[in-house]
Order: sequence, then structure tokens, then C-alpha cells
Amino acid sequence: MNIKNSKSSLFLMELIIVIMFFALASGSCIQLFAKAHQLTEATTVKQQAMMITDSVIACIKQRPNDLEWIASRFYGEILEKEFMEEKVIISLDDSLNPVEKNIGNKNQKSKTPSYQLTMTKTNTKAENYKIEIIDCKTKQLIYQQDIVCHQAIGK
Amino acid sequence: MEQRGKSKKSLGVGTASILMIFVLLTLVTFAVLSLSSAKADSRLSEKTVQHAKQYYEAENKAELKIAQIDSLLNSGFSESNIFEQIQKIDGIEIDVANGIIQYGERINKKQFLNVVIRFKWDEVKQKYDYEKAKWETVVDASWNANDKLPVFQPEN
Repeated sequence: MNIKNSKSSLFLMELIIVIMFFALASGSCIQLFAKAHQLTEATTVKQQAMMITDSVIACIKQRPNDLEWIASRFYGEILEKEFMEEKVIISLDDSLNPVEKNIGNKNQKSKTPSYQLTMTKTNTKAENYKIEIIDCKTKQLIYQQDIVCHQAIGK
Repeated sequence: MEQRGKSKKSLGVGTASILMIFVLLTLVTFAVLSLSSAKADSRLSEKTVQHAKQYYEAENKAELKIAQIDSLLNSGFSESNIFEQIQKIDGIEIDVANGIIQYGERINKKQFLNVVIRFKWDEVKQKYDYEKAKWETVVDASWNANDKLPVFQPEN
């Protein structure tokens, strides 16, 4: 009877130690998993931001002065001209795809943008464009690219 | 009576520890693998972003030079004066006879952006017209083959 009791108490002790150790180790492993997940998400966002910026740049190169056309390609809106600057605002969803506005359609819920792309055009010697993508929640700058696009004189 | 005779089989001392060791080893391996893979992806993405930035920087410089050339070609100066002014722009080679302007903008240590502009006098518009003949990334670093690995060499 005594031997049986000591065996079961030893087993219980072992089980307690194993559970404690497992909890500690799995906790730190979960931290590693979470860190890896965060890193992957940040990388994906950066890559998507670069891709959408490249698309906007391709449109700028195609029609340098046609802001209306560029804005329409990405469901963007042109802000009022301020001094030498013209701005186009493009709303982006979680996957950094342009968000279409559902104007006049009350049945459909409009998606709230997660990111915002701002294209600022400044006229100096050549046309300068500044493209910035910010996170709407944290207001953190994710990607930025400056572009110079010269349109031939008289064209 | 038969049941009383059968001995109950229970997990022995140490089984739980061995099981935990195996589970933890697997968990740690997967955690480390996922983190290293995420870090490698992040590094690659950072490199891509860096390269894109370098490329656009070179392209911006090239565009500014085109703007300079364009304004000189349409400045209304005498022909010789125009080409003299263009030649003064940093890094530009001009071949007046063939109507070619060429220059390069460095992207990084291994690549540069090669720009060739063809220009000609337009009789109708009474001004110089130009077009981008080449706008290409050229690799100018020498390529060294890695022959350290003992690859199978068939005997002919």
C-alpha cells in the first residue's frame, strides 16, 4: 500500500513539474510565433505598398499631367489645388487594393480604408510627384517614393 | 474474480517527461523555423525596396537631365551654342552628326541606367524634336562563376 502511494505521488510530482515546464516553454514559443507573424504581416504590407506605388508610377509615366485619369484608375479623389501643389487621395483596404466608393448605394456598406495613398504633384523645372502610403490607424508612414517626370516642351 | 486478477496498466514514471521533451522539441523547431523564414522574407523585401528606391533615384536624375536637354534644345540659341551647352551637362556624350545624346546614371555598384536620346530638327515645327531611343538597365559588374562546389564533370 505504501509503495503504491509513493509511486502515485511521484507521478503526480512529475506531472506537475512537466506541466509547469511545458507552460513556460510553450509561452516563449508562442511569443516566437507571434513575432514571426507580425514580421510576415509587415513584410506583406511593405511589398503590397511597393506594388501599388509602382502601379501609380506607371500611370504617371503614361499620362504625366492627367491627374483625373490617374485618380479614376484607383478610385481616388483630387483635392483642391493649393498654391503649387495638387493632391490625389487614394483609399486602400487591408490588402492595399484601392477601395471603391459606393456613392448613392445605401444598401452596400462602404469599406473603411485601412491605408491611404497620397500623391502630391509639385510643378518646378520638371514635374515632381511624391507618393506616400500611411496606415490610417497608427498614422505611420509605410512607404514613400519621389518621382520626377518630364514632359517634353510643346507636347 | 477474474477482474481482481488482472493488473491495471498505468503510465510509468518518466513517460510524461519524455512526451513533453518530444512535444517541446517539435514546438521549438517550428517556432525557430517560422521566425527564420519570416526574417529571410523581411530581408528580401527590404532589398527589393532598396533596389526600387535606387532605381527611381537614378531615373529621377535621368529625367532631370532630359528636362535640361529639352529646355536647351528649345532655348532658341544658335545650333553650336546649344550643343556646347548640352555637352557641359555632367556625364553627357553628344554625337551631333548622328543626332544622338547618351548618358548613364548609376543605380548601384553593379547596374546603371543607360539613356540614349535621338534628336532631329523638325522643319514643320521649326524646333528640335527628340525621342527616348534607349532607357535600359545595364549590368557592368563582371560575373564570377562559383566553381567551389564539386559538380560532376563528364569525361568526353
